[in-house]
Amino acid sequence: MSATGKNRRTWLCLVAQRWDVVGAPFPEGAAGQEREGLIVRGLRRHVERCPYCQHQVAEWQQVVTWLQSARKVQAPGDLVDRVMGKIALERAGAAAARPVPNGKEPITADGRVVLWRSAIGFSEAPLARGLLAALATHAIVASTLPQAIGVAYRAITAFLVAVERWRWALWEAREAIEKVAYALPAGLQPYFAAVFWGTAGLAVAVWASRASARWTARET
Amino acid sequence: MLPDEAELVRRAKEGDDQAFASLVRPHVDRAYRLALSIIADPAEAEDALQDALYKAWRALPQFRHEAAFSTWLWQIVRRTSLDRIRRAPALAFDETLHDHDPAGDPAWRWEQAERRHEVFAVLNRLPIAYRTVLTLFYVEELPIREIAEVLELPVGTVKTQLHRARKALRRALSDKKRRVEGLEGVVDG
Repeated sequence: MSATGKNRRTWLCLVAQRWDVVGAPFPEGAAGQEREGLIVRGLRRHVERCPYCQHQVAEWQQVVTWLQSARKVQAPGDLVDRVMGKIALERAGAAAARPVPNGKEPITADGRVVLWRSAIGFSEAPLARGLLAALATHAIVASTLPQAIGVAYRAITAFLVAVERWRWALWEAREAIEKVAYALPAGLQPYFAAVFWGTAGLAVAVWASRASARWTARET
Repeated sequence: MLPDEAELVRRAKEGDDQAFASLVRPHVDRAYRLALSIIADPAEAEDALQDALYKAWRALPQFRHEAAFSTWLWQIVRRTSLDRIRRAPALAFDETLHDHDPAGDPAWRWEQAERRHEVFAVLNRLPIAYRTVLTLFYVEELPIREIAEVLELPVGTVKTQLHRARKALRRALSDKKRRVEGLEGVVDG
């Protein structure tokens, strides 16, 4: 007995109303593996002898076939290549922004500016000390230069002792600051370096001036 | 996970972009269909998939082999697609299938296309959760347990959702058929 045409609307099956006869017992995709047991076996037996349910199952199988035709849908062939292109661009950008993370990426011109400024900034204090030491020695020998130079020399020396004491902390701080600089867009890095070292220099100058004033006051 | 895949993951984590490309390429069609089932717009699904692959590349160092790479990738595709979602009237699968029609009797092809169109039209009107679970189960034939991992839901919930989705699809199809038969009756009468 077939269940086609308008007749099928008049047929009813209580089992089909109560149970998911199309979902449970038939190997649609992984369904066969997922649902087992007495109910499933009972439903299978029922479907074998119920024309209404057979029709329902056949109709559902057709729907599943249509659904499975969606497997022909494929992603555009160049999609992965496009994503890889984007990744390559990102890598190139990262290399430009971070000149020396592992020594493999080329250092850009902006990166070099940051490095030079860092190096100069870090060496300016010892240079200043050397210069002042020379001047102070000359002052002691010649006794012609103002005493302030000697005071300033002591101030700078005290500062360098402090620097030596906190050398590692400062080193780490400097690295953190450079990381910030490298994270900035390449165009902003030189400005950041200039502002940072300028501010740092000013802070040192203010500190040295105050210390010098304190020592001068103590000596007088 | 296949040993090759584990090796590719390791190399990709070390910065080998070609290894990453080889890793995702076998999964890209399925991932696209998943995105399409959620977004229902081919161009949007393509964009979502690109975003998802890029996110996967960035998140690869966090991949801990707790699930299969494909499951992890599909989770990212699903989340990215849901982020981008907007209601689109396009019949996603159906539209993209037009180019794949096999040659044959034109009348037969027309009828097949009509019926397929009906199924996908109804499918695309179902809630996203139903569309997704039906796609993963019937189109991709993933086991329930893997679907649960992709959807980040308990297995029982996925079973219930699949049951409801199937019921909703069947009901929608039979309603549509009844309406068509009713119209035919009016015309015949």
